Amino acid sequence: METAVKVLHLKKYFKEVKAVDNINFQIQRGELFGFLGINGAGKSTTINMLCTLFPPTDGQVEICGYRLGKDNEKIRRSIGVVCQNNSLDNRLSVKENLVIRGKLYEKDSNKLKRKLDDVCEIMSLKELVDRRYAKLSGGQKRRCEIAAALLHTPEILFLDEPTTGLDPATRKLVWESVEQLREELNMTVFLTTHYMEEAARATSIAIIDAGHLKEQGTPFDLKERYAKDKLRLVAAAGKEQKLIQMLEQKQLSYYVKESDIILTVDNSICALPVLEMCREVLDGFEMLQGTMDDVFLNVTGRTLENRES
Amino acid sequence: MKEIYVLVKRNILIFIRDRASVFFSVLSMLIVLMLMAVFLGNMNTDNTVEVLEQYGGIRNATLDRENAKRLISMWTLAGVLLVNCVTVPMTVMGNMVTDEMEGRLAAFYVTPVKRSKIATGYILASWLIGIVLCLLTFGLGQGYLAACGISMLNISDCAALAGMIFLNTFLYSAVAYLLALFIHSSGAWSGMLTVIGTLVGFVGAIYLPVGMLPEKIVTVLKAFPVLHGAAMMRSVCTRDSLAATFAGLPTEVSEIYQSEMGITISLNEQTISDFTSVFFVIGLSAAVTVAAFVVSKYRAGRDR
Repeated sequence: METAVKVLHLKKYFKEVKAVDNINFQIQRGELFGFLGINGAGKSTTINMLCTLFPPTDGQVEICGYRLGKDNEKIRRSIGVVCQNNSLDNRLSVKENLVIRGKLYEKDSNKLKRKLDDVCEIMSLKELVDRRYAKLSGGQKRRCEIAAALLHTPEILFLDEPTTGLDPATRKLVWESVEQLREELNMTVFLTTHYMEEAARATSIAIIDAGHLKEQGTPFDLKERYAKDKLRLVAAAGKEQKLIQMLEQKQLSYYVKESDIILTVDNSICALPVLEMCREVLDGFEMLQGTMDDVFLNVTGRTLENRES
Repeated sequence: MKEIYVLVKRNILIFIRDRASVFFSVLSMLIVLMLMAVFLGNMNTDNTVEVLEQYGGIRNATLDRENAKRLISMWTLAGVLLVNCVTVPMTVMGNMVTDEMEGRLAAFYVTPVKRSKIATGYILASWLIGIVLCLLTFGLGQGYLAACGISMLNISDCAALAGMIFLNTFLYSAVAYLLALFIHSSGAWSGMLTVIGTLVGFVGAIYLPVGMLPEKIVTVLKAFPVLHGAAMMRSVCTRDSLAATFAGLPTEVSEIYQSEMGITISLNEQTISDFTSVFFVIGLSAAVTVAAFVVSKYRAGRDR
């Protein structure tokens, strides 16, 4: 498999602050790579270095085979960047914005027009092209931002928290567009997000904390290692004590949350003997899948609530 | 080159789509022009008439006043144009500060367009808008003076003045870009604009004639291009009026008057020619432009 991004011993120090400290990872072509971390973990610093916005203190980076620091212009031609904040001009129409951004890459007007049509088709912007950018909804603006980043058909698309602040329906729309891009263009996507359910869509994930890369792998792999499934048992009326006795006899660890009893199990199959044993005293049960939130918590020792504070 | 054209077009569009900004840019100049014509203009006209009475003996008082009025009107117009040459490019460059604040500049920096071209896009857009608005102010000012019965400048003087507007707006576009590299908030930029807008009137001896300022301050002001820009514009604007106003009087009277009014600048008792002032402004423009590109390039290689 071809490597799209190779990061070796990447460091970025701001005086005494080690914003990024010796991180290593690789992204294969066509992957959706999720880069997770709380605010200040080093995500944006890393993405800014990869996008050539500022140079690393040390380390090597190759993007599409080009060396960072040496082939920056070629790297810029190979990447599309959707920044965290909307970067198109409010006072211009969608079309004016896209044409201006497109002309910075493509000199041939006919080619640009074709690309513009293609991108508007993919991002469902056809009806919006003549509207003032400022008048668009949050979701429409994000789609325009992604469209602007796609005009030169980049090999790698950097999405820095692309759905932050959007409502669930719009987030879904944006994600459908991203999936479509990967399917149709085999585009490599480098994503940072605060939403763990979005991170779970990634083919590969890296978790960064305090400038250090803490863990990386596929979502499945990480969940296997860091997020146990949970079995929620609802005791039949008056059978709560009986249920607890049964669990204690089998030396199963559990905790009580509200009136429910929660057990941690390795996976769903492991829950079957417990359910069989307790069948007579149960009124119901539920399997709770391990989530990326659990992975994040176990890897970094922080919850998503910590992230926001 | 195409990228520069695209960026210039974008920057111009951003400015002109903000109609309030364009409106107030022109309106503020017209207000200054009218205030000066109505208040300070009368005072300066009276002072000029006094000079004529003092040195001219018995002359035609009505004609002297008319000549003095035209002279002062043209003097005022030149000063206002210079203020425009400074403030309009600065106002336009405010968009670069906003672009940086709102992350648009970073979006341009991740394109393959060189930072020098992005810089050129901002400078040229400020320059072009500066030229257009200054010429518009000049046209409106001339129209206003014509409506007041004051004859307009001839074609060759208009052309010379246009050249000076080109030169001065370029200098202040480059200065504005250099300043914008160090200022990262729109609030700070607006504050700086207010200070510059106020200062330039004094530094260029536009609100008060240079002869009314203390000698030491005048010596310092001579090091600034604002005074030279104002002097070269006044020189063109007042050429005909001076000849008519001081006709028949000793040359020294006119020379002293020009020096006192900042129409000419003297250094070590030698009058600096308009060409010297033009070369000073050209040289400074080149130096500031080089400095702006060097700073921009230096910043590209370090943390922002």
